[in-house]
Amino acid sequence: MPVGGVRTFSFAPMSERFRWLRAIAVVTMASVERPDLQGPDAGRVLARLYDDHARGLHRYLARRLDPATADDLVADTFLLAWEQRSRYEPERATVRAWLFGIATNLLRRHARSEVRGLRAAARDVGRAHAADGTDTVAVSRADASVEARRLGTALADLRQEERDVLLLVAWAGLKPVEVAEALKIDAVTVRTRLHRARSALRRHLGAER
Amino acid sequence: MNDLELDEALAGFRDDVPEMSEEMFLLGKIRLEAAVEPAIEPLPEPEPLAVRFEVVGGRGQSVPRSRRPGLWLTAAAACAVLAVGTTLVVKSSGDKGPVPGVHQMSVAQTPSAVTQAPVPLSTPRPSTSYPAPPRRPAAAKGGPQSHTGVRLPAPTVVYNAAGELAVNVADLPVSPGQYLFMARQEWGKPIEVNRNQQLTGTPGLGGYWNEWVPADRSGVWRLDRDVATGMENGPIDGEAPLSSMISGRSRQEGTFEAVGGVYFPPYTSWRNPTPEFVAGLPRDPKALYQRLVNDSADSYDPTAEALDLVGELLGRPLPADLRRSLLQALAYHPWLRIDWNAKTRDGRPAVSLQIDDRFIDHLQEVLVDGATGQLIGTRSTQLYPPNKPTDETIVHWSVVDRVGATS
Repeated sequence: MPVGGVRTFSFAPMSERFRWLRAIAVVTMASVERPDLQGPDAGRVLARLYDDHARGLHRYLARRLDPATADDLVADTFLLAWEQRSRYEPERATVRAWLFGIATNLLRRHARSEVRGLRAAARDVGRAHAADGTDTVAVSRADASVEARRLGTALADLRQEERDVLLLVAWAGLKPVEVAEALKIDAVTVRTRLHRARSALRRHLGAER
Repeated sequence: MNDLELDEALAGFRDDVPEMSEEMFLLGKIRLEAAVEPAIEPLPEPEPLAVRFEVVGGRGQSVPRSRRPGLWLTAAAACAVLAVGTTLVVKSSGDKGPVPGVHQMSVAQTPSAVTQAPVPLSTPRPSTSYPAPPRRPAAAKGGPQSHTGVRLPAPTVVYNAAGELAVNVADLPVSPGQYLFMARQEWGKPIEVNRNQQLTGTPGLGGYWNEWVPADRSGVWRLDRDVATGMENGPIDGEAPLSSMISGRSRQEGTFEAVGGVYFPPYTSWRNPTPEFVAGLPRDPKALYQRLVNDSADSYDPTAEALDLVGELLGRPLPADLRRSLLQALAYHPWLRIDWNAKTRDGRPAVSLQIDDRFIDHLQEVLVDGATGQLIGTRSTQLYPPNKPTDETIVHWSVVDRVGATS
């Protein structure tokens, strides 16, 4: 009999009580970050991924090229993701890293335009020319700054492989291990390229100061 | 600059790009939804027409006539035509001389004749002297399946005739006091520069790289350079000019002088070689090719990167022994193709050493003068519509009497 005739209840600690909630949250997060793209709902899942990631991809692509080209490449990224959904392995990469990998791969045809755009960023003032068949490259307001001009030259001088790794980390916000997943290369290679790129940039920027 | 400053600089670079517009967002989503929607099922195949045969005139039921005999007759007629054609061809190879319109294989085109008779340079010849192994794609089309391409194989056999270009390689005679003058003009697909979303220009139309090398290569070299002539430039406020800059506005545009041609921060590599880097490269073609194998390995398409590295280096004033070795080294490249009848942008005959870069989907060409083995141009052409060159250079070499002179 309880003391004083009052029934006492033994409550489990808070952390114990919400363990199941945490478990559900973890499972949900996992399915959001690493969804199944093989199932019958793949189309709906991809549409939701579009809502979640299209703007982030666009920002990354627009910074590397220009907003208009980024519009096309975002759409192409998701169309390709749909076509290649059977290749996505949730156990190997988050879907975000996978999408950024596709987008980075789609950038390849524009690699030279990207370099020219970076060199243009390192110039002072643009002068109008009329020409057909041009690629459009964004040079933002910040490009007028001294630092941006230095960075434009430094980024243009990087190898494409190094620039991809550096900007996936700096602009897409991927961790090196996610970059490895996105580009299907091993993590050591990512760290090596990242180290080389950062060293080159520091050397370049330092040398011109 | 420390890590934090570098991160801040990178974070601020082009951070004011506009957000994706709602219209483009919706358009992209509509495209996706259209792609993922199940395809409309095709209409069922129509039933074959039923043919009724009716008894006419009380002669009993007629049997439908099969059309097959007609088909057989048609096939037989076709065979007859083929047989006649074959006869004609056989006749044409007889002793009665060529028949007009029938292609005759010339003696020079037979494989045995190619191996027996030396053919002068800059005439067509088979570009492969040993069957190359099948080439695996560098990267899966459109997907990040394998961004790092297949490493080039070690040098084993000579696969192509690039080494023949080395036969005539020699240095231009430069007397003391004179200079080797290299003039390179560059063209690129124009880009539009968008400042604050206002189109302001299309730079990238061209650039140039003019370089004077003294007879004694250990002396002071001069470079006159602009990477984008179509766009104005100006000095960067507060920036100390490079020690090599003797005039000009920035690292991109100006005149530079430096011992051994080291104008810019010393990145010792194929793309920005120092005299030490050039001296350290092996002259043995096999060893040099192995060095290319190693140095191209960490790239998206090593098979194309190897040619690109050679092109970059040949675009600098190299001594003849290294140029010779580079061309001989390329002979070990299994997938290099050679076009002996190419032309530079300015119409000069050239031998094109070429390969498809399967990562960026461009045909990469290194254009060499068949008579001297000197690099006289490069070209990069889209392997997708509209299949146009996106980058081109032409290079002229000469000897001048003073630094700064162009003729």
